[in-house]
Amino acid sequence: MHLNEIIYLDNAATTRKKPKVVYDAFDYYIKEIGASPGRGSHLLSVLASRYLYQARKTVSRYFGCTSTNNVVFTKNATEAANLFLRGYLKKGDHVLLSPMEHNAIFRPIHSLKKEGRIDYDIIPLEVFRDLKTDVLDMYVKESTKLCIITLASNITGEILLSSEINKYLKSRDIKVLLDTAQGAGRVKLSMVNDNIDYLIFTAHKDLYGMPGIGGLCSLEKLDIEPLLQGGTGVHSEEFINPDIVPEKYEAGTINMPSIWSLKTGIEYIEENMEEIIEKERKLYTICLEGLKKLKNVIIYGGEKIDKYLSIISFNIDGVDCQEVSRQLSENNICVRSGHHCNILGHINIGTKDIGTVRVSLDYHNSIQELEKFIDIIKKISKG
Amino acid sequence: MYYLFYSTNNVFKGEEILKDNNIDYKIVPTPVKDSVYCGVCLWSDVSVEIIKDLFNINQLEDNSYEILT
Repeated sequence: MHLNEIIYLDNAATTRKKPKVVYDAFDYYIKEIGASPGRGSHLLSVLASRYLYQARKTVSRYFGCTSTNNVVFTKNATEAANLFLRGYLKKGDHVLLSPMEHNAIFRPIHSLKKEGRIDYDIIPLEVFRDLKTDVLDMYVKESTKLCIITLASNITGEILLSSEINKYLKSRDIKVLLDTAQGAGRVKLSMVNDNIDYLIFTAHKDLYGMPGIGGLCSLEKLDIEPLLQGGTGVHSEEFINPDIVPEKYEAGTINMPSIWSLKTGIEYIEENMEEIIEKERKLYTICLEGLKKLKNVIIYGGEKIDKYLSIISFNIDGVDCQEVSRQLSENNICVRSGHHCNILGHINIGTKDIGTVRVSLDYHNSIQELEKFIDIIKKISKG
Repeated sequence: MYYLFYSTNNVFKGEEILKDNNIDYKIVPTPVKDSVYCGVCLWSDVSVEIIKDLFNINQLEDNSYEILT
């Protein structure tokens, strides 16, 4: 078996195939530039700093942010979540969460609760599905400072973002943090127009970047405690990070090759989004319809396909999800089974004790690959 | 004139503004006596008022840099 024969259907974890321009950008940076931004005044450092600015500009434009100074790079979405939540939330604050939050959000929040700093409540899914502000109101307290919403569930692919809900939260003086780790490259967003105060992203999924880079965007100048203390390249004479954005939040040498390739990935998506979405819709429909025909397959979600990313979670009645994954793997097909780092979501869809098999598609997949996948699921399910 | 920015990001935001407006400039090491600033700054002999106006129009606020003769 050659690696190029593998059918990779775990793109919600990491997109395996990136556009060629992304590989080229990474290769160019590590081979031709090599140096780090903000570290010295020699010509390669200046070039690196210029590229970093260009990358911030691309990220800022893509997410409809207000300034390049409000784009902070971190090593991934999890670090961005920890940076923001630990810096922003104060003792006595109350937080609202969507019921589909990934552990990258849920664990930092729960940990802050265990420390006695904050309290939180989980809002029912119907608030986002049916825009039920009266239900939302039942969870709002005087101390509610922040509502955290995942752009789309990494388990079912359901898109939760709603400008209307965000607008309502704004009217109640509650800030919105959107976790775009899943779906950033497939749902067009504008922080300004969609009332998103803070936004977390990661490069390695549908933005087609490399692993090892993520970030935090804010509509207004970020004024919180940094997560890490260390070298920032500015005001090196100070004993703690200087109060200068965005460098204050980026202590240590940053992952510039991945930042540069992320910029290229985003530009690729901007140029090709319509085509990418159209193909993924087609693949998603074929996969969903194929699974629906199998009598022992239980699908979680997928009722309104325009409200879903190309992610499907399912189980086969009477077969452990890990066993399904094992059998697929034996046939050179990669899917993810289990809890997908999202216990809250599995509690919400009723699969806490059993997990699910998740198949997540990408523009680079083919109909033939899905036909083989469905064929094997048919055999396992005896459907 | 040297334009010394507190943030490295703003050096390159400033550079873009000058470049887009065909202003002659250089990126140079920050003068030693001002080593508290970041490693590089902008230098230009075009009128300070013209450059300040361009920075202001493009949301590069007065308090994000200092001018050194």
